[in-house]
Amino acid sequence: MRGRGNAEIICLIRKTGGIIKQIFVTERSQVAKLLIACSLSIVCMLADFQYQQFDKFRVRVSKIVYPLQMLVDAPFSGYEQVVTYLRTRAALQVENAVLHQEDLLLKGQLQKMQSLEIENNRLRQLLDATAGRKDKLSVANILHIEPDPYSQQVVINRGKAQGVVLGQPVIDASGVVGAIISVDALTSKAILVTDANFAVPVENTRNGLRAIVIGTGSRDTLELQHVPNTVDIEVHDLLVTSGFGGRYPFGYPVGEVLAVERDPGKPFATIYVKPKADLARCREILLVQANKESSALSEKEILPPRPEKETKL
Amino acid sequence: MNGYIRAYFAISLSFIVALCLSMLPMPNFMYWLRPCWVTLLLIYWVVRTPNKVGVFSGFAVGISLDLLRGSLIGSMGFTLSIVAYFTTLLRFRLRQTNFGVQLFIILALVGIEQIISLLIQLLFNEIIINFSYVIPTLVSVAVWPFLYIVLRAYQRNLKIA
Repeated sequence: MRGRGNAEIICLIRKTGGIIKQIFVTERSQVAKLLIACSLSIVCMLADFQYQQFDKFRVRVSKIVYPLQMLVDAPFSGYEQVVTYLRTRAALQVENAVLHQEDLLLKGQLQKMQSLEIENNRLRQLLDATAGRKDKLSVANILHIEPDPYSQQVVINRGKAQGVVLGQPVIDASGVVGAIISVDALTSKAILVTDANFAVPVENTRNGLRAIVIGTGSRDTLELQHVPNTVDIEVHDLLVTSGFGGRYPFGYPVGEVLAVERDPGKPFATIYVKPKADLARCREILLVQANKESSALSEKEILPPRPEKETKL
Repeated sequence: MNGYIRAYFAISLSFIVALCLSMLPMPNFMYWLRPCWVTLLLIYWVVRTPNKVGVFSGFAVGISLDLLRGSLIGSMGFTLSIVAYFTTLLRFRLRQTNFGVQLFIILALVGIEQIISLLIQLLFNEIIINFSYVIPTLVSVAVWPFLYIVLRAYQRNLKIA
């Protein structure tokens, strides 16, 4: 009898144990846990920010995460494949005809371009200047857009194995997209021009005015900074990379001036720029092959130093 | 013992699903409409199973979210461990009160998460603050009732206590 009583009590304790545990999760131990977790996170943040301690670790993790990213991306790329598969013959024929026409047009323009290029090179030789160099391009796909709302970065499906290097410029069919900021084994990450931490040296095609375009963090506007009120700049001016940062080759379109606000009370005009590249919609991007050796660069060097904010006098 | 392992497995599975959801590519106009799945899930499990999910789980989930998102490692770990702590303090209230008050508590908890992560970003990055940073919090609160029903069914079916 006694034994049975004991067993019942033990059973009761076991049954209620879970509930009791739930009630008496002691507050003091919670505070201790919180302190440990917070200090660990602070150490992690400082190590990541200051010393880039986690870069190798990230590479390793990205190998594990890559299948997961592919999995998340699968429905979207699958949808695209199905759409291309289901296209009707008529639509394809129309598209083909349009493409043929475009091809012809472009070929015609190219002929002119070739003769112009030859002429240009000859003139440059006459002037003893270096001949304009051609940039090699390679195509990559955007795997996914980083969901971190505070930064604008994309992951692409080319990595160290395909010869992507840190700091490599990224463009699309219509303009500059950004630059590579980290390279993993099979993927790499590009920062977009609209990221608030990113800046590109540009020049105005109309009059050669040089300035720096800086991202605003919003997806469809850039800002041209430190341009005096009196400078000749107008809406619809095309801004192209000036090549002076040493990062981008000369002449890739960055954006078009959207609005110019000249406030006489402020030292500089506020100029909004619309990015040329279709950042929201593009899926294929082009990597510009760097001619110079730029592999041994830290992330700090890729991002041009951001000018100090204006101080009010 | 078997039940324990199953419960941990089921909880981690739900977190993996939440992490996938928070990585899902979104069209541009819906960019700000993404609810904070991971935070909501963490709040749910801390309230329902405080002896299994707590501050350290919040930390672990936060670190994995950082790794997946590519944000500064430790920033979400910091944020989510604080959220988990506050949730353990408020868990009885969250279980007992009526639905309106529950929503307010959720609003406060997700708001804390958003504010802390915004402050961390301000500390380490250049960002420009605008009104749209409020939207994910509101969306999360709107999603909570549905998520609660789904998770309650999930928990009952798998008998996680």
